[in-house]
Amino acid sequence: MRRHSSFGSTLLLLAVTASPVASQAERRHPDEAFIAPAPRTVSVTLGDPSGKASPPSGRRTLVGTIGTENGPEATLFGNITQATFLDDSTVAILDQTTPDVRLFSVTGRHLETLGRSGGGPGEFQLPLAVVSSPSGELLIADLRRSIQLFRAGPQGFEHRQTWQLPFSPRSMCFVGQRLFVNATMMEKPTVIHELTDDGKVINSFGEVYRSPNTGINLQVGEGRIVCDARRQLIYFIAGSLLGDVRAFRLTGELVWRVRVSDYRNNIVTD
Amino acid sequence: MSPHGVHLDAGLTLIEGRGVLAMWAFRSLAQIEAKEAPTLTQMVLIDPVTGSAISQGNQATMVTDVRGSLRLELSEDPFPRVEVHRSPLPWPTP
Repeated sequence: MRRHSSFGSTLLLLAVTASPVASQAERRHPDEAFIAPAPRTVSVTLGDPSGKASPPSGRRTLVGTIGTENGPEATLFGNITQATFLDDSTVAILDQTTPDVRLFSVTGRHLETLGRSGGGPGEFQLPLAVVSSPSGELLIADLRRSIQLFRAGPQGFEHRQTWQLPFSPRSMCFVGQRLFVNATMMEKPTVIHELTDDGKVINSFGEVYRSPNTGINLQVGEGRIVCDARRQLIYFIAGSLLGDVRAFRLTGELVWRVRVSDYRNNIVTD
Repeated sequence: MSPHGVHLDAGLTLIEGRGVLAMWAFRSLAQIEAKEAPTLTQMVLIDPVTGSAISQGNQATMVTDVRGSLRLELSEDPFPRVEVHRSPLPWPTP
């Protein structure tokens, strides 16, 4: 079985060392000096990872299974990178091995597959994120620096529009009608961007790691965001290298940071 | 490389009424050497207002989304799949 990070491309920029001691000329990451400060930092430990996993506590019932070992092609997965509810009855699945978005019922029935490989409307290089808008459109972010909008039609979801962007969104969420995306750029240190309803960037905020090595900053910044409409907050989790979760107001103000003190990572030198 | 293994594949989900669930898969050194996928996910539940966090222990699956009483759990063994589970509480008390 496989599970790969979706951050493999930026990993190529880095050098991982097996040596516990770096020379004076080398800079080691993560370095606390490069972590963007927070008004409130809470430390937490994950505990011993050497033990076996506990079964989930509490009563629960299996409603359905999405995916098969030898079933129809639409139900075969190689490396699932996102599984999310679009509504109470529909689940969207992204798989790193196929350039499409597959929709299923919660009982596991395949409903529809959106997209295929290519550069035209309704085609993808690699879908990175999917979200349902308040008006029911599907927004699908592609590695090819774009978001494509799909609207439900009589034959299923149909492509309506493509927004070209200065980055490749890794994660998306709505607060009301406001769309926020997680994405990194070489030119900017911020990791959260608000888009207008025609795909223009109107605000960027959220610095996490500010080292002179942009490649490492990008690796940390390519994480995930979750929107909390009730509290008007956006939560961000770092993609790799740091056990770091942050809460931002919609204006970009950092509220708190959770630091995982026993997060284990490769030491990176540059 | 860490002599014990590494965390990777961070996940984040908002559980209404409980908090923000942050997760990291853990890949042991043996799994790295054998080129095997991680089989353990470590979780913390975070208070959205204060940022106070408490460990939720080790689980075999990654929770990718929660909606009401339904939640999606990603499993890799013996084949990649997503299980949809229903529980009476949005998230059990550890």
